[in-house]
Amino acid sequence: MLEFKKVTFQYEGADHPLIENLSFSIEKGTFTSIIGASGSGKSTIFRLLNGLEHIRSGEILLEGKDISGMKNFCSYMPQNDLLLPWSTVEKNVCLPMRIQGVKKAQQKEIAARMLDLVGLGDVADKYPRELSGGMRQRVAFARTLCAGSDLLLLDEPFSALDYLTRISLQEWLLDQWMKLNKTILFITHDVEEALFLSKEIYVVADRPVRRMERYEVPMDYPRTREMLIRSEIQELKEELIRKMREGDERIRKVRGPRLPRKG
Amino acid sequence: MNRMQVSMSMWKNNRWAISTAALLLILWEILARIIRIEHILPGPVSILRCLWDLRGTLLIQQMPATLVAVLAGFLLSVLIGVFCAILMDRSPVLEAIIYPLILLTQTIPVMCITPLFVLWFGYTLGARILAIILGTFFTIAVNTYDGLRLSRREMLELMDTYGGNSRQIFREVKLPTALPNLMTSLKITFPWAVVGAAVAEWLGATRGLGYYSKLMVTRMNGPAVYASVFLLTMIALAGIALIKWIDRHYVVWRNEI
Repeated sequence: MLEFKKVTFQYEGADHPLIENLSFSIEKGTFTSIIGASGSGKSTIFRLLNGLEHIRSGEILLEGKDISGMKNFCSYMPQNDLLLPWSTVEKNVCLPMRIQGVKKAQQKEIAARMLDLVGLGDVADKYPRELSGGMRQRVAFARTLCAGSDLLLLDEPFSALDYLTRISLQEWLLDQWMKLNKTILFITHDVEEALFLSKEIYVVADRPVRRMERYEVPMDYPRTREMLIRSEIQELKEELIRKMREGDERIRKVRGPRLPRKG
Repeated sequence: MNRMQVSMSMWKNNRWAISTAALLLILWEILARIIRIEHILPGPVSILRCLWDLRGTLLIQQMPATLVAVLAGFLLSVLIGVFCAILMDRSPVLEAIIYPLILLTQTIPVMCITPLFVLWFGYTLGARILAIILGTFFTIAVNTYDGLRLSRREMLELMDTYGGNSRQIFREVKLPTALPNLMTSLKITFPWAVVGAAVAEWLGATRGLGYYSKLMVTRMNGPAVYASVFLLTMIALAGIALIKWIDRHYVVWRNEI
């Protein structure tokens, strides 16, 4: 189980904490999504987990142990695939293992297994530029798996893809999760994506983030897209959108109005 | 593409440059024949004839000496330049110390300081190598340093989440990111290395194309001076072509960083 206990965090130079006394927990082996408007602080929760930022007070516990001294307990998959353009697909997938000092023969064997798992065993020698956006994300997922952790942090991994690729990768990811028995924490601002994938959804709607409202998705696995049109799911979808809007308004009050984007 | 198609495409891409160069050579030849003062303005035909007549001296005795100086000086310059870039990238304190110093080296005219190197090292390879390094390493260092800083923050953070140490991050991300910049600096500075070698040979050497061209000036042998200069130009062009080829075939991620 992953547990946040009264966690407070403030960015350097900021006037107020972004997260204050936040507590929540995630069961092992579940698929959980965190949703919220842009700038709500959901990605910061990942940054605290993967060690890029450090909490000011409180505790983050994994199986009852403080994560501050732990290494390689979670694998992070960012929004952009961030594949190394100078390396082949196989070498990209091996990256976390190279860092961890895994023997070369073992690296190759694990990479081949992971690439087969994501259905890309035949592109090991290709370069990222030779792959489509969807294939690149699958390679990035294989790389995330190669880090060897049971907790996967996926930060809007499909947001840069076109609609059709996105929904087919959602189905594919769900299939992978059911096979792999990993805990997935998934960040998105796409409510339908969160509903389709997750067992439970947390909504970030405060500034500072003091609590996240938790919703259980009343659908069993395996799931199909048709399930999303059920009335209880539609009601939940509307409720989640309403919560996100409220949160967005609260954040704008604190931060000032959102500027229109260029282009 | 077969060889014929490659030649055709090269001709298509460069036809204006080739035609203009051919026209200028013809004009030069006509002018030389009108003036008829060979030690001042020899024509291209006379230079080529001289090149052929002196092929033994130029290609076997003089050119290898220049080539050794250019290659050794350039290689050392790359090593020193990249090393300085790495140090500057490592810490802001080192950057604050090194950057002004290497900038200072750029304010020293190579022509003026090379006689000093000759005084220190005599008519040796060392003096020529030093002149080449002084003329080229700044551009290599600054370009490589800029390249190292181009690494995407998200990429570096991803390496952090994998637990990568600074050596691993440098090898896996920073160095490959900086390579296109390094290759650009090599293309820019290689001709300077050739010029640096020639200047150093002019000022203090007993062999080399620069030395030979100076010798031929004192003997009023215009075609031999031009023949030496022609070979120096060929070395520079061949070097640039080789660097471009390596860049095109091995540093193919230039547009993806």
